[in-house]
Amino acid sequence: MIVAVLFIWLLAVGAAFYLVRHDLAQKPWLEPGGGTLTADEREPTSATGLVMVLAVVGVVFALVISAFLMRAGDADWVTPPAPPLLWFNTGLLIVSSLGLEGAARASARRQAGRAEALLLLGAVTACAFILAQIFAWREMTAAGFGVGSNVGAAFFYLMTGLHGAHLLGGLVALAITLAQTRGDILGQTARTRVKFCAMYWHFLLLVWLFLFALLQGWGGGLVALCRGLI
Amino acid sequence: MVEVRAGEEGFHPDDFEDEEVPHPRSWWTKYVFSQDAKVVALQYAGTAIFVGFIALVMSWLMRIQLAFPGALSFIDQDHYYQFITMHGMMMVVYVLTAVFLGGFGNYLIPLMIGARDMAFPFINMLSYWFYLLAVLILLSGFFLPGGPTGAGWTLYPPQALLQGTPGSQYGIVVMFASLCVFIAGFTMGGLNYVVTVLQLRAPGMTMMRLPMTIWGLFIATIMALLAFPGLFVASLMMLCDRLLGTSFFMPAIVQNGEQLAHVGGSPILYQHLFWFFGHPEVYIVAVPAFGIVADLLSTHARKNLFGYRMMVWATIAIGVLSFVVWGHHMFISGMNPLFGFFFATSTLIIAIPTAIKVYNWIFTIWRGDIHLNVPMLYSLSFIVTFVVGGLSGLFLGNVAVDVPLNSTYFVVAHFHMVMGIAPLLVIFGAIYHWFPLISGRMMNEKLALAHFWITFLGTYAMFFTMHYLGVLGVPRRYYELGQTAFIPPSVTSLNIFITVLALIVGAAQLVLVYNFIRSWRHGEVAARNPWRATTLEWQTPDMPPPHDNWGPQAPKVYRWAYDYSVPGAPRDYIPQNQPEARA
Repeated sequence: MIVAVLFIWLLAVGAAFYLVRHDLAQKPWLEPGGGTLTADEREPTSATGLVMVLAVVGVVFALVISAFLMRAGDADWVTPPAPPLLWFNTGLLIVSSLGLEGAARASARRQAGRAEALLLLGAVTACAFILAQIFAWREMTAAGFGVGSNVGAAFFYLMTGLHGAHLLGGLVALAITLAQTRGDILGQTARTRVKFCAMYWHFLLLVWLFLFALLQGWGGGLVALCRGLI
Repeated sequence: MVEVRAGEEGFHPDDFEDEEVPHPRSWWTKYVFSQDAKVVALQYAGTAIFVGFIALVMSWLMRIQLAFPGALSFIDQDHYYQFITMHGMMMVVYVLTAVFLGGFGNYLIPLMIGARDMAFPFINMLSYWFYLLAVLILLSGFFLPGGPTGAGWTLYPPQALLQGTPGSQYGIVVMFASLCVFIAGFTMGGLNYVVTVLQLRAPGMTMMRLPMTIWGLFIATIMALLAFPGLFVASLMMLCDRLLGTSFFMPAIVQNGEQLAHVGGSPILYQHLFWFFGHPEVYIVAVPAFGIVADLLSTHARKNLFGYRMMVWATIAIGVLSFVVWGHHMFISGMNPLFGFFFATSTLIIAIPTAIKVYNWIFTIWRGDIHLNVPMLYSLSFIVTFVVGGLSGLFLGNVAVDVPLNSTYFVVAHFHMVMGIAPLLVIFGAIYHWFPLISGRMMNEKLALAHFWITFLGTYAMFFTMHYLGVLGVPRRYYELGQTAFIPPSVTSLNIFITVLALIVGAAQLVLVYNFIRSWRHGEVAARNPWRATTLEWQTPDMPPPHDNWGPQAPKVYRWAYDYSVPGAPRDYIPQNQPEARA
């Protein structure tokens, strides 16, 4: 659970900075009168929403990783050989993330054609990633590591499944955005939302890199460290 | 630092553009699929209270079985455990969390910060419908073969999934499915509450001018958003163990001479995930109650809140610390003694900010102009109940004391007092306090007083005496005590005493329901701002507040929420949106 607690503390430090900036030391009983708080000082409402979403999703994955590390190394634990396909999938997700980032930047610079092309690249590679993950599942099953075969395999399916579901949610949000803005990618709404999608994608890429490392069995040192602490 | 410009407007005219509020076009979108936070609040609270009554009836049945074993022939062991499980889970998650955050959160957050609605009204509406779906899934367990799960409200593996535990066929599956839906729905609502507080505060409403009610709801929501994933992940992995044959939590077990398919799972891992959620959950229920009580005490004692800044900081400290104390629920799970030491220490440390709050409540009413009306009585009774329940928590927070007391009624008495009854008393006080705002009418005070005295004295007598059962060593979770040498006859009479009280207190809740319904239609019409409160929700153009809360002009805020009895002011309160002390 150390990972989850560290993540919570990380969030707490971020929140502390936010609150200190918002003058938590103010003595409100001494200071009547109009405040100087203006609309410009605030982040856009949806950006605050996105930060909260990322925090919640982050806790979910921190807890899954915590569970993985606590369970790894038990007597019945077998680290199944990760399908080599995962390397390719990681590449796909990186391209997807870069594509969305490029689309967000291009739409900010009012380059409609470039933004649309990059957005398409990002969306298609994200879909391809999800499909390829399903192929990875099939490879795992074919290699004799079904869901119920071993807890190491079960974590593989749980982690990739949860991650894929979150990416799918992002794709749905992206699709809704495009449908609502009717492809007008340079409009205010679309520009903001594509930017947020890009941020969400980067976040999921970061999460995936952690999961990928664990699934490759590179977490052994960390497991040993946690066990040593316990 | 807020710039002081008393006596002038102090705001740029175009500081804030007014939000657009989606206007309902039909009866359906006004009352059923409404995006108005006030309607969503009433839907949440109404559903939660309905669930609460089901859970109440189950507690009656358990109490009857404990006092008069076998009196009701249809209660067998299985039913008893099903009642325990459903009573616990319903009350903690589906009632208390939903009433505070879904009910009071939705109603009060936009009004008290001067917003017109929540930040994302559509998602807010969706949150309620997910909640309702979760409740329906949960209740469907009663109608499935085998009934709802009887695994105890903590749903520990392995026994939750083993044959022989009631509801292990379907009940356990619908329980975890319902929890997942609840958490998804709550996350939608919770994101709204947090973003609304951060983004939609009226001009001049700095974070340090927020009433404590809002601070309580705000911090509790953040805690809930970060804690519920623990339960979500645990539920998901349990569902995998149950449905897909994985072994996250299920160890190798031989049942009836047959080796089950599971191997090597870790039940302790489940306990970690569950209590990672479970302990913050206690404060998710308590922190909004802390906030509401601070406002009720200050308003009805006509005195400013003592130590506002300290109260805010203490709330935040409780929020952070509550994530590092979960292990104290697992002292008897066989953990490393060093861990026990760590969790005992953190548990005792969290008592410090909590104690700061208690002192500040008492200093708030000290030499105040105390009006002993019903909301005030409930607030005072909350302090008494919470202090007793909190002190027994200090006993249990110490490993050496917890180990012998853990499986006794001492624990039942402690947590009912501190996180069952204490927050419930605040809910009642808050209902009486805000009823005039919601309905435009006053509640009948005589009925309210009768409800108060029966509820407070009854619950106090029930759970205070239950500590005694615990000290005697009466084990909890038992369907029937039978003939046991170490249990004296006084236990039997005390059990009857508690059961009779439980029946009376439970029935007395109908007085509240009757009063609520009757006053809604026939109550005395409330004066504008009947409690002469400073906070914004009472300064709306109409009472009850209109659809967009504020009519044409949204409020501006010039002061904190506790300007009561200000020397030199003509009235004994100055509303937050009033620029000058004189008016």
